Amino acid sequence: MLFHLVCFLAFSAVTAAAAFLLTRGKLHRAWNRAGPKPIADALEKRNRILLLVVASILAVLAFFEAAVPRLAYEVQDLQSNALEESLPGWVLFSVGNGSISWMLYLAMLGGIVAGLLGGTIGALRTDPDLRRVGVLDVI
Amino acid sequence: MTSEMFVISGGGTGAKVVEALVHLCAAGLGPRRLHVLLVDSDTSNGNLTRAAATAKSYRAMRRWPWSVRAQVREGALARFGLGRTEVWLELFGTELHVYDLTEQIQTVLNGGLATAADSAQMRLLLDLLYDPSEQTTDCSDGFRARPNLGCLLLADHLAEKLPVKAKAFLDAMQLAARTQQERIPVVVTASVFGGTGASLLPIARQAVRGALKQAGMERDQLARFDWAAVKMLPHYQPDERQDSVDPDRFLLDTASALQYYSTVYDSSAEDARYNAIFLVGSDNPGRNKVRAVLGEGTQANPAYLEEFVAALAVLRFGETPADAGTPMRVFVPEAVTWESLPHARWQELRERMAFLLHLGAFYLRRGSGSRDEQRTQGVARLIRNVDDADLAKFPWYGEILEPWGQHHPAFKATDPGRRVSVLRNSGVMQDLSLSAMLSPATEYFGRLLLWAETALQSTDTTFLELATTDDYSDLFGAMSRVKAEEIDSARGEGSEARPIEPLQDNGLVRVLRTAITAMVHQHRQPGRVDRRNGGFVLVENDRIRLRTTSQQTCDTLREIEMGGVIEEYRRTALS
Repeated sequence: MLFHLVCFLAFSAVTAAAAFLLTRGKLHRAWNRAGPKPIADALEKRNRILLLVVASILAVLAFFEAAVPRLAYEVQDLQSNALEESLPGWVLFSVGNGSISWMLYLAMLGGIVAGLLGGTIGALRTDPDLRRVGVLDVI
Repeated sequence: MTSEMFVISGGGTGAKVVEALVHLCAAGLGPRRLHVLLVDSDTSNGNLTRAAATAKSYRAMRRWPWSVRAQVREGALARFGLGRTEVWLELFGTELHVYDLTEQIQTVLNGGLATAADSAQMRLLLDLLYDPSEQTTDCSDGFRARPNLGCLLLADHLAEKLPVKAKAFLDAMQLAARTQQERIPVVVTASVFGGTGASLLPIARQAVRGALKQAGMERDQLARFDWAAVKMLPHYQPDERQDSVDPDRFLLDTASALQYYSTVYDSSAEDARYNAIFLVGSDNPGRNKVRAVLGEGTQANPAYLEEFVAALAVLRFGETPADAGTPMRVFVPEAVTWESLPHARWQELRERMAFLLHLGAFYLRRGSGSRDEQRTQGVARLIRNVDDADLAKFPWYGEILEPWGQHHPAFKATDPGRRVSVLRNSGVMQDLSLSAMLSPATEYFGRLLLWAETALQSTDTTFLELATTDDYSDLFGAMSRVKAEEIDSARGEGSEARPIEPLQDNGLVRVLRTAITAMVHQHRQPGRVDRRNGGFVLVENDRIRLRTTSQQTCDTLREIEMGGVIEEYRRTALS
């Protein structure tokens, strides 16, 4: 569980930092004269595309894990070695021909979603004119 | 500043001084109450109708509260969150009453001076003093730079018409004399080189006093009026001679008129004299060239700095009583700067004018139509063009408009998603709606900027600069930090603050008050808002640098179907 928590936090932190810098850069350059709603709309579009890409990558990984048993075992070993021995296998993997490390992928995706939102909102809060743009407006 | 003041303007130039005076009142520099009597026999003089339209437009704005109480932190302790002070600013603070006496003169309507020749000797005398056209003119377009004709006719005309056609003005004077304890300044302003104005100057005081006496005013009440004249010397030049209006004679006529006035004041009864006289002129009238036209609506000349200076002289007399011991003072500045203008607190004058002009520019700026550059647009265009959802996302909508709208039953009963639409709709929120004030505000600010373009900017003197390299997008950011409490109080007759009744307010005026407060924040406490686009600067190198252009002002006026206003300022302008 700790491994997945660390995974979540690491992805979250890295994505948040990236989203913050990316958003703030855009606010200062491309969007420095845009109104709050067009900015929110542009961020919503950007974030949705980013999440779609990430989700697709993770889905492809899951597919390969299920289709190639050797790859699945490697990923299982990685998780088991990383302090997950106490957890029952079904929490970590759904077993198929190979397996799918759904908990890992979920932690990564969750971390990226949280980081993306946190970083974006954090950057928006630096501009008083964007105070009314909420979390739901940018996802 | 005095609490009540009276101004009598004569002819087109007098009307232009009044126009400048109205803008000074809009900047919050006027007296508490100002009564203006516009006198002209040119019933459709373009300068006169423009001054009257400016005053009307001012009154439409003044209907709503324009007081702000900005909270700023100043001084060394500001960075520690201490040193909080309140800055009060009120635009459109003067209660303005405009009366007009623009009747055509009966004598001339009946056939002119020629009809007065009831004997052969009289005919000879008339022929000696007046040419045939002067004897038969109907003066429908003024006295055409012929004060010799004007003086003769205007005194009788005023004596007859003042008690009837300007009764409201006389009533206001009577009321002021009864209720005011302090001196009541009365200023007559007109040109010395023209026709109607030059004719009015020597007779105005006597005519008004005569009418007041006739109305039964006591001597001690009459003595409460403190009279001054603000006389305009030649400060513009028609490009060619038209009928009796000969620009080459302006200086000569002026010299003769001044000489004549001095004999009038020396020899006439005390009640014809002025306690103070201001003369405003130009070292180079040819700097302001205009196309020569006579009377009617076509005589609408651009505004000039000299008229602005004259309006300041009017206000100066309002503040400072005439002192018999004051010697004649002559100011011939090498360059006209804010400091050399006739205002006791020139920094305040510069600051107030800057706030008003920036507000006008911020309101009328067109900006880009692109959605990605929404904040480059002015308030008028933003309110008109952006989607409801877009408008609702501006923080000042949530802080300033939505809580206020809750006081209106229709707004409160509306689903939150549709409230912006209700707020914009004058059919639902009527006078309180955003759209109700769009046209009046566009007209006033359009007039202000078109006036300022020539009045505050010339080849030699530049108080104003129009630029498009920057925009007001940072001001939108600053508006997001304004609190409702900063725009919800007004100053009463005394100096105590009183809350503004929500249903006595208008949505658009609330947005504009928010903009003024944001300007005060930025001006007094520049570090308060993150500056992404250069920040808002009130005055740069003694110039008010507006982030708009003349073209943008005209385009916005045309968009709101007010293109006719532009013509009023440019009809006789020569590029």
